[in-house]
Amino acid sequence: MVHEWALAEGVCKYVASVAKGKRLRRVRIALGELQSIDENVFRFALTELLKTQGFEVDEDVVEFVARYAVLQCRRCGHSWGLGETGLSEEEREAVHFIPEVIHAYTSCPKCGSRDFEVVEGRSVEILEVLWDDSVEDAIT
Amino acid sequence: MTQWKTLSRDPRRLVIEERLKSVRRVVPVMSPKGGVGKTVMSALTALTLAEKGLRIGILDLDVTNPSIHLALGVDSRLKPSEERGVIPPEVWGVRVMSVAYYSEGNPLPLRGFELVDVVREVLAITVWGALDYLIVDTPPGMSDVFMEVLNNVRRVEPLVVTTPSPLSLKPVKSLLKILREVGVPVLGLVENMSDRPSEHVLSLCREYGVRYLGNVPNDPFLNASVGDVDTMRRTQAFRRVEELLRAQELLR
Repeated sequence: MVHEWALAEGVCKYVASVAKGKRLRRVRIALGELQSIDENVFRFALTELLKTQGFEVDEDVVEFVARYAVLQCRRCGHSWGLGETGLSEEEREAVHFIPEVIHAYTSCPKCGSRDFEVVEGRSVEILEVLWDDSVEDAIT
Repeated sequence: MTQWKTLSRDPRRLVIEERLKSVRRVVPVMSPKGGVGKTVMSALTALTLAEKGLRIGILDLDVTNPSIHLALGVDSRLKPSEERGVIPPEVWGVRVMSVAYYSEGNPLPLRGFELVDVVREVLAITVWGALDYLIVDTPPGMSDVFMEVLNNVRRVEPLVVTTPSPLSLKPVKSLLKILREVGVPVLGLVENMSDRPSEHVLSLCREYGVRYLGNVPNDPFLNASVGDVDTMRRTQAFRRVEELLRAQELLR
């Protein structure tokens, strides 16, 4: 049982906090490339956890959107992707647990600075929770 | 009718309480000033409590300069295991969690909001199980990590460390003021690197109604013992910390 369960628990708690007792239509989640989340494990974990909260979870309820990692240097402005970092398997594994440790393993390919931003594709991000209901107000 | 809601809350924050639900007491070791001995005090406290049979965890939140693993001589091959989260390895009877397992000794310069992400991530994924005490080594300053601990961890009881130097006392006064403002009870204050209780420190404790746990003299052998727990246990500092914890009935 891998640590995707821990992240799925947070998502489940969020969904339960906004849609408890309602019929779920969709939970749309962005998965950042940096954290290399195992989609199948995450889907299984989230589905099982949602069921324990009393949700009926149809096959198409949980939807993933892949987000490629974009890194941008704060010193020179250069942007690059994860493919250009040349991280080893072990380093990718470390970044999987704590995405910020990417700063320990790579730097800007143009100027060498470790002061770069993960502009996109860091981790798990809930994009939308959709449910059927006639009482609750929509909140953005 | 179909309703929808976009994310207004970080889902990681929602599981932090769950992760800490079986932890009886959370004790962040705090001081705004660097170099007063927070890490060593964290390590000695954790070791002392574990030696008495209590269930102890230690979390190194000095993210950019983690050093608890060095103080405890954690084997660099040790890694947390995975079981619906990450389970910290146990060293000398203490469950030790640190970003150092993942940064592998490389420099890790981070901006404030990146530190916030690390703290939330670590708190959200670490599965501690049942603990009597979770000791948290914190970085100097009253910045992002400090505020994340106060905002995300309920029922914290900080252990404040100072030296008798005015350079340490003034920032500690600010710390005590802030903790009082947000209603966080202080477990106590340790006067470190001090041969005898200093009137300035005692006076500060009286002013803020904080329990003075005692002084720990500067121990020339302590630095040499760092990373070698058997030797560390024979130092005067270790014995003194044990005395202080026993006197305050914290060894239970």
